[in-house]
Amino acid sequence: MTAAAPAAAAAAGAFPRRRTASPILVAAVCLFLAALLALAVGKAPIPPAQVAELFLARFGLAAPDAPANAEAILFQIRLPRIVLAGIVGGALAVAGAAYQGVFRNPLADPYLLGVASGAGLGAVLAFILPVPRHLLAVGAVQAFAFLGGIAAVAAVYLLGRVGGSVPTTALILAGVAVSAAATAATAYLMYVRGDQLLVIYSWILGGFNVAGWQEVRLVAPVVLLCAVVMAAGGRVMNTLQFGEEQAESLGVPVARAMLILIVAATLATAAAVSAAGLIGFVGLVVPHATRLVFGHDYRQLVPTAALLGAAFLILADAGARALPGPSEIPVGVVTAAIGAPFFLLILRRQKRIAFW
Amino acid sequence: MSAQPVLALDAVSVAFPEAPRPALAAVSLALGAGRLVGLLGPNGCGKSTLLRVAAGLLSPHVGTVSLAGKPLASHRRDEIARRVAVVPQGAVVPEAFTGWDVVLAGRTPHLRPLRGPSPADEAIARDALAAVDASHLAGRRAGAMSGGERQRLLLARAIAQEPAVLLLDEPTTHLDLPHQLAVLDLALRFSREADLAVLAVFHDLNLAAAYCDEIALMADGRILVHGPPAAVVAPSWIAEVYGIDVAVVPHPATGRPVVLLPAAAPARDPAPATGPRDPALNVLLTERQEMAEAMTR
Repeated sequence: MTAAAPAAAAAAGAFPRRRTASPILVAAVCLFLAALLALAVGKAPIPPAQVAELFLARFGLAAPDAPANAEAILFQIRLPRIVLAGIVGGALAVAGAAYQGVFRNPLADPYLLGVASGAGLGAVLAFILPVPRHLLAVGAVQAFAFLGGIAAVAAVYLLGRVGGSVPTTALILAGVAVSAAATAATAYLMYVRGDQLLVIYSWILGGFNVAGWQEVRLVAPVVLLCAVVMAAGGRVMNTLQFGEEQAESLGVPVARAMLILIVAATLATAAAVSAAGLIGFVGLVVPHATRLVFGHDYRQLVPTAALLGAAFLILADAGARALPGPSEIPVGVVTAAIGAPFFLLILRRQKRIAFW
Repeated sequence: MSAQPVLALDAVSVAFPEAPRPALAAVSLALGAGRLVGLLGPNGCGKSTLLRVAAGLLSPHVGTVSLAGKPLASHRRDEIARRVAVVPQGAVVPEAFTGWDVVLAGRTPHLRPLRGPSPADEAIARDALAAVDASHLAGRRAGAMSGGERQRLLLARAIAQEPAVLLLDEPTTHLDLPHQLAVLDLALRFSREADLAVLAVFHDLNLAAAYCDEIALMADGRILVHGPPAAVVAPSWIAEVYGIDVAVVPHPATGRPVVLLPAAAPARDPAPATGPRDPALNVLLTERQEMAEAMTR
């Protein structure tokens, strides 16, 4: 018997080497499978084999022998819609992860500081004011929603400032106040303009039924840039979990780091909301579920949540398209319908582990 | 003493908006390498505020703080964190973090942007854990640790920062006696071996007198007296600052001052001696009894 072997084993176990790539890899595989499934399903199903064939043909690697309308459905309708759903889902999940990291609160979601209500008010104004339908290359509703969301968060940030510092509690309370005011204004405008009620309400419910490559081109650069910024802030968010004062004494310029992360999360969310309306649940639950399954290290959590958010919303949108019914089910209904039981399942399986 | 202090506060004043008097009023304090300085004083006298100013977490309204000869305000946040480490009082430690996560966080100011900790960083963190005798906590979650274990981890995190200055805010609060002594032994050892300048806030006069090279005694935002323990832990100063009359005797082994508190209630007649009694002890007991009587009057 030697004592050296157990001691060495204990030392190895005590200092585990991180396998940084694995959660991101798992999430990427999930995203790929979700996209593949979503390409196949719909009111006019295309078999997966035919999907693969059409893609190969697109790159000149196989002779196209599929029906022409299948190709049009796949590349003109289904693919941009899936890409947009992925971008929006990724944006909401990554922004939710960032807000949860910055505010050290598992109940934070991308709409915490008023993006949603601001965007909602902006969109309603675009519907009822006599503005041209298109401003520059952007639809008026999208432009107003994007700017409304950003204006709301800017107002929250200015109202929450106390002298030179921005206490998180003041910020969250200012978010509640501004959200309430914007929501009240939206409700009033919807009430006095009952003729527009259906249009407005269907925008608020959110969805991708009019998604095309144009929307993708507008939203993708903003979301990708902001997601990179938030992913790069992973270590800062890890340090922030000790609280602002300890993070500061560990060398993090807290106020500046928080501002950068909040701006990135807000821009990504506003872009997502302007393209797809107010889709709930993704931004709250996906980062939370990611943390439950893969742990609290924000360096991995942020990119993993982004990929899983994309996969989740692509699947939810596929469900909205494929489920039988007179018309498409709003995707927000589907996210909650799939997400809630799935989330409860994870919570029950992991409930012995402290997650915050 | 070394020629240049590592960290120096020069005539620093801090005033909070709602407070009736300044939290710090023209405080000057110099910390030299290799020395353990104790900061004492009643609740609310400005000890923690002084520590926060020294850490660069609070900018003084008047006066300057200099780190290695340069104004603290001219250093970047991570530059300060490479030289000054803080062990805060009752600090938040995220429950899901393992001991290893906590200690590795001490390397944060040394990491290059977008880079994770290198093997060298991990080696430093491992050594810091071993130095506080907490290697066995590496794989445990902070939520399942005792207060003493968390305190040692925070000390290890501070050591992993490889600082020149270590600031400890009431490092012994909520710890039992062995853990209090263990933490202070470590602080003393680091000040000697790593040539650290250590500033520690204390409530216990005897602990401070036993461990510190110098003691600064504060009241109402000012440092009243600053010097070796024998000069500061004296009945006159303690009466002035705390309003309590105590007796101070030299420790039989070290000669450092030991504070004897006044009796809480009039002492009973001394029990019959079971053996030959030291005459000095008799004097002491009589003194305490007189003191107790004086206080009940």
